[in-house]
Amino acid sequence: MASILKVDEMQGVTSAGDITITSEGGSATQSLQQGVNKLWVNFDTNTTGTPAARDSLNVASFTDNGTGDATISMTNNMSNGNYTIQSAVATYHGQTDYRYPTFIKGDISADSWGAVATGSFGTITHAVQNGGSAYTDPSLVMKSVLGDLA
Amino acid sequence: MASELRVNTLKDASGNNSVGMSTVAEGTAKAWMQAVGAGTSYNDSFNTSSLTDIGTGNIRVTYTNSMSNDDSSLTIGHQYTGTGGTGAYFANAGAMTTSTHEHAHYENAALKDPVKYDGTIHGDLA
Repeated sequence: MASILKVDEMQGVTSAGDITITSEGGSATQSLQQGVNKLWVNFDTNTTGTPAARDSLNVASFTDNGTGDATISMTNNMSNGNYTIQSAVATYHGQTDYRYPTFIKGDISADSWGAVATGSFGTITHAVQNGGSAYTDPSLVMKSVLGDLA
Repeated sequence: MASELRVNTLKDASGNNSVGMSTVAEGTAKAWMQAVGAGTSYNDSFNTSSLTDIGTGNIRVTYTNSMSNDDSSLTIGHQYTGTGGTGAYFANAGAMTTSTHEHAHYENAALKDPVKYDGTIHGDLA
């Protein structure tokens, strides 16, 4: 018979922030919390205004820094700046060239990477540049974050 | 003593938002890391052991617990050293095995050490 656990919140017994799960192959265990995405978002950078999320987790707001340049503010901050960010750009307003990468302009709460040792660690600033070095506003940007929540 | 809960499905207390344990296990990242651009150390990581600096703009990440096959999904992001230039900027996923994956970072069509490397692995642990 299938078992169902109804619960609103789970915590580890030994450590509240550490619940162990068994691997698919059964030969290893790992932390559930460490493997869970702490932020994800699908958004339009919006050529005429502030970027807007189509759907998201742990995103509080966007700040439009200019063409191809935006800052994402988190609802719950990370504990440090050593988290990992994955990004993808799918389509562009009025463009058909999909080669342009999105890069991390300077994440965490700093003007440039490594400029601060403390902070809220609650923002990611991203920028999209085309092959000719000009900033551009894509219509679809996707990001996810793994790391340690505060 | 460690406690173990064996269950097939999780729901919230109202009986909504059902998710199977298989989805939890399959959907959980099996490794992630942020490494310094020189490729000499991790700033933070999960399920990683050694980090190898293969050369300029090129690193190899080794896992503590291996994957069951080399068909895992690797997603990466690199912080670039600058926003100018006229050449292509690429963050490439390199060779993958059950216990390692590689990153390659290009700026202006040449391998270059980024400010940092980010990478995440999804798939089946051994």
